[in-house]
Amino acid sequence: MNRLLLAAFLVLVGGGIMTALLVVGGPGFARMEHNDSERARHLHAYGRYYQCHLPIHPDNGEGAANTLPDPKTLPDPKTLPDHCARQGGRPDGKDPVTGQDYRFARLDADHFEICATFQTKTRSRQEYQFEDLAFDGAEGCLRYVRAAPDMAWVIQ
Amino acid sequence: MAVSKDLSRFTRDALMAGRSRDEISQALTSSGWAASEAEDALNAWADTGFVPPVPRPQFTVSARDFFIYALMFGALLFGALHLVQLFHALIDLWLDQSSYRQTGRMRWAIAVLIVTAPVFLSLTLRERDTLASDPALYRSAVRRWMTYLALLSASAVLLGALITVIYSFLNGDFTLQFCLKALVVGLVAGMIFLFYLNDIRKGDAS
Repeated sequence: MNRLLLAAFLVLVGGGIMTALLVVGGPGFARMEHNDSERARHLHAYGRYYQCHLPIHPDNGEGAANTLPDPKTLPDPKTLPDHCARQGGRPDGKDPVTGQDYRFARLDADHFEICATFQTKTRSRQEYQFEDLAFDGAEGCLRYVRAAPDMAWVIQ
Repeated sequence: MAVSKDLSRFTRDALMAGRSRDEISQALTSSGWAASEAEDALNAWADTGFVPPVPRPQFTVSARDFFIYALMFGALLFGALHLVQLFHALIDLWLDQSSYRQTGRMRWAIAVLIVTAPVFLSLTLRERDTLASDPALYRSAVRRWMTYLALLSASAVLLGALITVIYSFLNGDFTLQFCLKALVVGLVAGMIFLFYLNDIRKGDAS
C-alpha cells in the first residue's frame, strides 16, 4: 500500500514539475521575461519624465519631432505640474539586451510615444508593468495624449 | 505515561520478593497511587515469572532519530505545501485566463519540489530498510511523535478542506476552479494521511 502511495506521490510531483516547466518555460525564457519587465519599467520611467519635461509647443518640423528636447527648451520648473516636483534627472535606461536607446516619437503637440522591442511573444500582457502598453507584434509602446480641459498627459 | 523511579524500583523489588501482581497493585493503590499508575508500573515488567523480572521494551529517544525524522517531515511539509501551490497556480492559469501568470511563484515551487521530493523519498526508503533490518527502531519515540504530528496535520487539512468546500457550496462559490483546488488539497493531504496511518499500523504490528 505504502509502495503504491510513494509511486503516486512520485507521479504527482513529477507530473506537476513537468507541466509547470512547460507552462512557465525554462531559464532562457525566464531571462527574456526579466528583460521585458525591465523594458516596461524603463518605458514608464521615460513616460513620466517626458510628460513633465516636453515643451508645451514643440517644433514639429522635420528632424525635431523624434529627438529628445534640448535642455534649453525645457519649461521653467515653476510651471511644471506638482507631480513633477520630485522628478529627478533624465532616466538613463537602455535596452537590456542591445544596449540601444528606446524609440521616442512626438507625434504632434498633444501626442508622444516611447517604444521598445520585446522578446517574449507568448507572455500574457496582463501584468501590471504591461497593462498600459500597446503592442503591435513584438513592439510595445507607451502612448501619451494630452487633452482639454486641463491638458494633462495621460496614457492612451 | 512515564513511571517514577521510586515506583519502578518498588515494583521490581516486590516482584523479586515473589509478590503477586494483584498484591502489588493493591499495595500501591492503598498507598495513594492511582490505579493507572500502578498498572503502568507493573506493565513495565514482563509477566513471565522469571526472577529477576524482565523489563518490557521501552520507547527510545535519540539525537539521530530527531535529525532523520525532523528532516524527513520538514521536507514532506514544505514539499506538500508547494506541490499544492503549484497545482493551484496551474489550475488558475488553465481556468482563469484573466489571472496574472504567477511564474515566479511556480518557479519557486518547482525549485522547492526538486530539492524536497528526493530528500523525502531517499530518507523514507532508507528508514524502511533500516526498520526492516532492525524492528527495534519502531520504538523510537521521536519517530512515533513525528508520525502522529504528520497524521494530525493531514487530518486538520482534510477537515479544513471539507469545511471550506461546504461553506463555498452554501455560499454559491462552488466553481470548477474551486472544486479542483479543493481536490488537490484533499488528494495530497489524503495521501499523507494514508501513508502514515499504514506506517503506524505496521509499527504497532511489529
